[in-house]
Amino acid sequence: MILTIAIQISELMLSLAVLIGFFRLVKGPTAVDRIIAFDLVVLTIVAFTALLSIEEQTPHFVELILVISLLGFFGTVALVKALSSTLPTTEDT
Amino acid sequence: MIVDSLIALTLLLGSSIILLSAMGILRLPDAICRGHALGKGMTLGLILVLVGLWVYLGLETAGIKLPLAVAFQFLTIPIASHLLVRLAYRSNEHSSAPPPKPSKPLNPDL
Repeated sequence: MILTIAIQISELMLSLAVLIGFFRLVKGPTAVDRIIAFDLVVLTIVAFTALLSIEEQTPHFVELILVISLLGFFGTVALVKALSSTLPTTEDT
Repeated sequence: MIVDSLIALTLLLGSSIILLSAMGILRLPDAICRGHALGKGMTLGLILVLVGLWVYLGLETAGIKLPLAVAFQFLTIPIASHLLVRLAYRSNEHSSAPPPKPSKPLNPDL
């Protein structure tokens, strides 16, 4: 009972976090802001998967948590590496 | 009942910290400040939510995969945040505000 209410409130807060992430993804002035918003959305979806695993009472989503967080990290690193060769830098070291 | 209350407390605390991190990304003025909000808040919130899931599932069903996931988050989120902030610092367009003036030290005798 208390767990159901807590899961619903947590899902509301995480949905708000995903909406804020999409807002920053659209609005963000620089490309780095958009990558930060992408990372926020991916990690919030990881937390959402954990909440869904409690709600469905199944342990089968644990691999999904690992896979989504791995994909988010590799996507962030790939975007940073792709941007660091195109953006103008103040120092070339 | 006590275990359910503990899980509910952990989930609510983690989700609140994730929402605080998102509000920091919404309201902070700079890409470097937003990377700061992402790196700290997201790590703590996600680790709290995953600990709540581990307490709910128990050791015999979840096994070693959830501590592995927690350790993986603890390693990768600060690395990704550091890479983003380093990219924002090295690029020319990282700041819309003028650079800060060198501040006078509070106590010059020290």
